[in-house]
Order: sequence, then C-alpha cells, then structure tokens
Amino acid sequence: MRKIKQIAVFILVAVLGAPTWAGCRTKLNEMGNEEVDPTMSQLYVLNYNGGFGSDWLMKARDRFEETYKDTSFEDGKKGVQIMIEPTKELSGTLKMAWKVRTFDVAFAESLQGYNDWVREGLLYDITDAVTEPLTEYGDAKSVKDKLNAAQDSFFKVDGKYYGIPHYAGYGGIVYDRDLFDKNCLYLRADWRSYVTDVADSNQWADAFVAKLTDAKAPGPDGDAATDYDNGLPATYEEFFLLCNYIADIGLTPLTWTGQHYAGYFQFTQLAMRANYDGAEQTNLWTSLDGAATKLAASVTAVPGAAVGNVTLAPPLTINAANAVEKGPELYKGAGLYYADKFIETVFNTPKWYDPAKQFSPTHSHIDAQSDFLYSSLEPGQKDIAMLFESTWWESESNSVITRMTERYGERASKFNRNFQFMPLPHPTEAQIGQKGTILDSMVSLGMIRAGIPEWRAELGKKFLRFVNTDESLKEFTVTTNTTKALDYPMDEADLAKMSNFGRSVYDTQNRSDMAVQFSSNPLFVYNSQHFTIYALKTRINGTAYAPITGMHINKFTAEQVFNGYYAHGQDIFSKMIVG
Amino acid sequence: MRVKTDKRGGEGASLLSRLAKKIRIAVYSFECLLFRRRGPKKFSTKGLSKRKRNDVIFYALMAMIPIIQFCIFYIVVNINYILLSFREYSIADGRFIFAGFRNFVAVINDFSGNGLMLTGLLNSLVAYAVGLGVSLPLGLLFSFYVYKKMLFANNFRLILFLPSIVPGLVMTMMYGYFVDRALPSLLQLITHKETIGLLSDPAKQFGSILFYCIWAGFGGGVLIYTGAMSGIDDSVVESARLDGASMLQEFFRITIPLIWPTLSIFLATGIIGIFTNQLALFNFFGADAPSHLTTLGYYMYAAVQRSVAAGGSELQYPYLSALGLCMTAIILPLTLTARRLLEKLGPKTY
Repeated sequence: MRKIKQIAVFILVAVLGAPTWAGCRTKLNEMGNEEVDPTMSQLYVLNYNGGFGSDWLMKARDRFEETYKDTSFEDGKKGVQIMIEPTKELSGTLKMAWKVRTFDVAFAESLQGYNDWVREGLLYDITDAVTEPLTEYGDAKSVKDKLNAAQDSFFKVDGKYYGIPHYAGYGGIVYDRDLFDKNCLYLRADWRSYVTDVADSNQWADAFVAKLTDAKAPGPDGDAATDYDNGLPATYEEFFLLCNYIADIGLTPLTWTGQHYAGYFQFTQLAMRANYDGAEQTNLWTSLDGAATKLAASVTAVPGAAVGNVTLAPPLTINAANAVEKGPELYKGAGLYYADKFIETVFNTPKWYDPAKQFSPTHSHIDAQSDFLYSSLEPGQKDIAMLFESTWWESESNSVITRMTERYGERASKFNRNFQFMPLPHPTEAQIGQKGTILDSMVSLGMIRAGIPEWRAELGKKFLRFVNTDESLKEFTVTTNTTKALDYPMDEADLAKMSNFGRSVYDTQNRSDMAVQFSSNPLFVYNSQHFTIYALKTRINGTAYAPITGMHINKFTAEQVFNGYYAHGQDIFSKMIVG
Repeated sequence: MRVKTDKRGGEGASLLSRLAKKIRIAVYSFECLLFRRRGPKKFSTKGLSKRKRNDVIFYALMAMIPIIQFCIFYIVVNINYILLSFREYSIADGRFIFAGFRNFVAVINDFSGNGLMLTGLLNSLVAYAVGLGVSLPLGLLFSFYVYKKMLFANNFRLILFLPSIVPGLVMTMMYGYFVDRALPSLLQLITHKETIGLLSDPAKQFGSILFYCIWAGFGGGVLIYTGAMSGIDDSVVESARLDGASMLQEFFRITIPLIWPTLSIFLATGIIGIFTNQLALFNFFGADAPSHLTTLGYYMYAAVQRSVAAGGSELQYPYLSALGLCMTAIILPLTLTARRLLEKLGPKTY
C-alpha cells in the first residue's frame, strides 16, 4: 500500500514538473522546432516577437547558416545553427531574463536604460563588429557608417559600442487609399473658395474633388508637383473637415485600439509633436543642449477653431550648465499643445468613430487592425477610412491578412490593397511646406550577452554584422514592410517587392528628417526612465495625470493639459540624478 | 508504537543537529498527518526500520522543496524588501546605497500631495465598504439558504461558485466582453439606441468593476460560510426550532454566533484588503488603468509593472518597498485591533 502511495506521489510530482521539464527541453528546440545538431555550433538568438515578427530573422538565419556551412567555430564541429527564441520581454523583464537565461544574441524591440546595461556589465563589447567594414559580405561600409550622429554618440560608451540600432518605429495615421479614391476624399486645390464656413455641413462636399483627375490641394508639403500627398489634409482644420465629410457620407472616418488607446495616442502625440517641432527641437528633449525656439509663452482656446492661439516665447538656450533649471521649460513646447489639441478634438467628436469600441478595454489593437482591414470587404460593415497605428501594423496583421486572402482571394492581399502612411497634417497653414520630421520612438537594438564563451561571442558578432549588411537590411524591409533604424539604400527592384504600405513608410522616412529619443547627455543617461513616452504627465490641481487619459476620462482641455506640463516637468527635473 | 528519544537532541547538541531533528520531526508529523497515523510525542530515526527510514528520507526530500521555496520566496524576499526601503539605487555606481528615511519621507509626501494616492485610498475604502455592506450580508444569507437546503440550493451554489473555479483572467475577459460588447448590443436591439459599454464609459467603469468583484468573490465566501455552518450541531438547531425560533431568529441567534470565529477572521482580514485589493484592474486594463479607478493595491502593483517596463525598476523598488512598509505599519495594528474588538464585542457562544 505504501509503495502505491509513493508511486502515486512520484507520478504527481512528475505531472506537476512536466511543464518545467518540457520548458527546459524546448529551449533547445525553439522556433520551427529545430533540433540541435551535435555536429554543428549553435548560436542562441532571442528575438522580440511583436509587430515586426520573426520572418526576417529566419530568412537571415538561412542565409547565414548557408554562408558558414563549411566553417568550424568549435573543435570537432562544422557549420552553425542559429537557434531562434521568440520573446515578448521588453526592457526590465528582458534584463531579468538576460541575467538568468542562456542565449547569446538578442534583438530587443525597446530597451530603456542602455547605459545602465553597459554599466552593469551585461553587454559584450562589439566595437570591432561595428567599426570594421562589412567587406566579407560584399558591403564596403561598416555598421558605424550606417548610423546617424545621434545614434553614434549614444551607442558609443567610453569609446566602445555595445549595441547596434535595430527596428525603427513610430506612430501615425494609416489611410485606405482605395477608399479615398473610390469616394474622392481629396481636397480640391481651391477648396477655400467654395467653403466659407467649415462648420457648415452643407458646404463640406464642395471642398472635395468630384473626380480623381480634378486639381487637388497640394497637401502638407505645399507642393502640387509631388503627387503622394496631393489632396490630403495639410492642416488640422483640413483633417477635421475631411473627417466631417467622411462621416457625412456614411463612412467611419477613424478607428484605433480601445484597449491601448492611451499608449497609441501617446505615439500619435509624439509623432505630431515631432512633425511640428522639427528634428533639432525634438532632439533637444533628450540632448538638453541648444536653443529652444518653439516654446509657448501662453496658449488660449479659440471656440470653433481647430487650434487655439499660441504665443511663442523668446528662444531659450539650454546647456549643460543650466539643464536642470531650464529643462522643465521644454514642457512648454508648442508642439505638445498642438498635438494634444488634435487628440482632444478627435476624442470630443464621437461621430468620427465608433464610441462603443474606441475606449473599450475589450477592443485590442488586433481588433482595430481587423476592423480596418475587413471594413471595405465585409458586406454590411461601414468602411473605415483611417487607423491610428504605427509603422509595424501591417506586419503585425499578417495572420489576419492571410485569412482574408483565403476568404476573399488575392484582392485582399496586402500587395493588392493600397494602404498608405499619411503625411501628418500641420497645426496651422504657417507650417505648410515645412519638411516632415519622424521621431523614432523606439530604442531598439541588437546586442550580445557579456560573459559568453569567446568563440560564441565572435560568432554572435559575425551574425550581428551579417544582419546589418545592405543585403540583409533590404531583405528586412521587404519582409516586414517597415524599416530599420540605419541608413541603407533600397533600389526599385526591392521596392517593387513590397506592399503599398511598406513603400509609403519607406518614402515617408526618406522624405523626412529623423529625430531620436536618446542622447549621450549625462542627464539623459542617468535618468532615461523620465524621458520615456509613459513618463509624460500633466499636473492638474496637484495630481499627475497621463495626458491622453486625462483628456478622455477627466475631460481636461488641451489647454489645461498643456498648462499642467510645466509643473510636472519641474517635478521630474527636481528628482533627476546629475551625473 | 514505542519511539526512542534521540540522545543527540540534548543540551549539548549543535544547532545544526537540533535543526535537523526539528525537520525530521516535522517531516514525520507531516507523514502522520498525510496517512492519518497517530504521531509520537518524540521522534528518532534510530528506532525505525530501514524501510521506515527510507520513507522518512523520501518525505524529507519531498518536503524540502516547499521549505526551500518558503525560505527563499518569503523569508529572504521580505528581509530584502525591508532592507530595500532604507536604500536607494545609485545609477552612477550601479548599486544600492543607504538612504536613511528618504524613501519614507517621499511616501508621506506623496500621501499628502499625490492625488492619485488619495484617489487610491478612497476607492479602496469604497471597495471595502461595499464588500462589508453588500457582499458579506449577501454571502451570509445565501450561505444560510444553501445550508438550510432550500429550493435549488445546490444549483445556485454551483452557479455562484463557477466564477471561483474559472481563472480570474478568463472571468474578467468574459465579463468585459459581456458588459462592453454584448450588453450594449442587447440594449440597442431593445431600445434602438446606441449604447456605450459599461467599461468604456468612464462614469460607469468603477461601478461595473465593483459589481464584478462582488460577483466573482461571492463563491469563495459562500464556500467558507457554508462550511462553517455545516459544522453547527444539529441538536442546537433542533432545540431552537422546538422552542419556536423562526428562520430569521435561527439565523441571527444561532447561526451567526456559532460561525462568528470564521466570520471575524473574514472581517479582520478584510481590513488588509483595503491596502491590497486591486479590484482586478490589472486584468481589465493592464498597467495603465484610468487613474480614477486606482486602488492602493493596484497603485503599488502597477508601479512595479511600469517601472519594470520602463527599465528603471531598481530606482522604483526602494520607494515601493517603503510604501509597502508604511502600509504594513498601518495595517498591522488596525487588523489586530479589529480582531481584538471583534472577539470582545462579537456574539458569545458560551
């Protein structure tokens, strides 16, 4: 009897422990269930398996393994196996995993506190992999040559590199160009001569072209010769007019995720702020070194107007000597106010979206993407014109698009639909023609774990170099229809393999200045957590509110939110650690 | 069964051997408890056969895992948490340094100046009051209904206990979809008016989440109360009935006093809930729940989650540890006082 009980206990333990054991076992066989080949050397690669997916990495793996199939990295072994481990870990949780798990290389989607990682000795020195030209792969440039000045300065710590920038990602507005074409949702070149009052619904239709060949408004770049943005809204006022018109003809102008609306609109806020501020002013937020020229002395609401009155303050010089004192002034940036005003107007106009979904915690970003994708194909659904999303949305929707293609045929494929990344409208007419600015809101990088055997680190460096050759970078962009945060050329043949949306992202990036969310300023280095998008708060009546939820839930106006930023900025800078 | 006393456990025995003996006794007692065998007053492996000794080793090995887990994840973690509250993270040095009472000062300042903490406290108190005023009486009445085996009692018990069996995350998801998707659609069918879901409407969010917590927590309470009620001696109830006691009188004069020890534990531990109850907010909203819904428990939990996500967890942990310790300083005397008062003022069964 006792024996039976003991056996029963053993079975119980075995059953309870099985998942752990299975977890340990599968660690060696992740992604595609690839078995470990004992005759080859293995390199374990952790990849953030989010919107960008892992397809690009599997393609690079196949080519890398083929390239080194006859090379020996360990005694008695020939060739290499890249073992891919998908993960959802970001920043803090990734750091925990980094300390206890056994992988060699990681591609992180977002890594806050890069310098902390370096100081803690978690990252391998990859200086030679970054600085030496990639000649062995037929690429004359080095990885360093593909970095911009801000990246080079940030990723180089005490003269050494420990990471290579990886994904580029930013928020914005995606629009269905097929739907725009079908419904002629483009502003006429001379729409102002037909519309005397933008609030008069009887005049809305007059603002838009009757047929696609009609002369269109020049768009945000103010240049009628460039076709990509002609007819698209150049200002907030035009954007709101467009939304009103779309709603008026029975379509749904906008959608976004209800579950993560706060986070996604923070991306939108960042994007709109950067587009107004320009790269130099945007980078000032983290470099804290230069002249702030777009600070608002005051903002006042103007009833019925798309934006309020903004009085700009005189330029303010911020430098290492006064950064702690003057840093909070940046929270008076006019770009912040304009972006919030845009978001406030969107929130306060429920006829532009489905109020039952847009703030619902049950409406995920995948739901929003699906609604947007299906709306024009599914009978009985109202077509949706625009989606607040980010550059990686189409890659993230791959499985939905595949299902749609199975159901509706090739016309539903992303190569046959025409989604575009919309050039962002400007707050006022004064900014029309200003070059667009994109703020790469991710601190994504590829890195190698410190403390791994030297041969494995060398192999890891080879792999990092390999995925950053022009050939691999192009392959990444063609596969994901997004871009990497490096400078690399794409030729017409490569672009032809991409979806319309992917091409529009690439074009947008090429036409714009790039700003970054990091710097090598010690104030940023030691306080990076205060510079993340989630750290931006507004202090109203003594309480710190997230601006987006504050505008939705507490019904704060953009002006109230703006006036509360400075107090929060002072609070943040008073807590900063001075290096 | 005759068991010899272990001579090595005497005065001169080393700390290690005494500890080993304690573990052996604990394991043997565990074995007795497990197989309902009468345990000895003192225990030694010397008097055991080889087979029994092997059994003891086996059980010792089995018990070692939870004991080690307890030591690491409770004792060590709590010591570390107390120590952390007196430290701060020096980014320049990449290590924790002594900070004195700075974290505690920050916590006190936040309680007086941070509106979010005050909102959290208020919401936590509301949740406690609703639990005390609505959930508890309903739970007791329903338990009494089940205990008295009234019509469909077992079916009701099953229905109400289901939320406790299904994982919390699944329940919140189902509830969320129901109140935010299904209910508005139903209302639209009936009234032909567009309705916003309860969780999408800021004015209705808190109420619908409170309702969820009452509903989802109902089963657990009912199970405990019915368990306690089923332990009441039938003869007491029978005697009361013979004396002409009504059902209501039986409930208030017999049932409540006799389950009072269980009930008082519930009431006392409920006070702890003021500081720990998250109202399932993380399940509904993740780490970014709307600020007007925050509770103290959620505030702490979400702060940890957010700081981990932002990569600055080391900087936040000391402050959060101090916050936890401050809360413990409030909870501990409050709970003990409440327990003492409940014992003193509660109905007596003797």
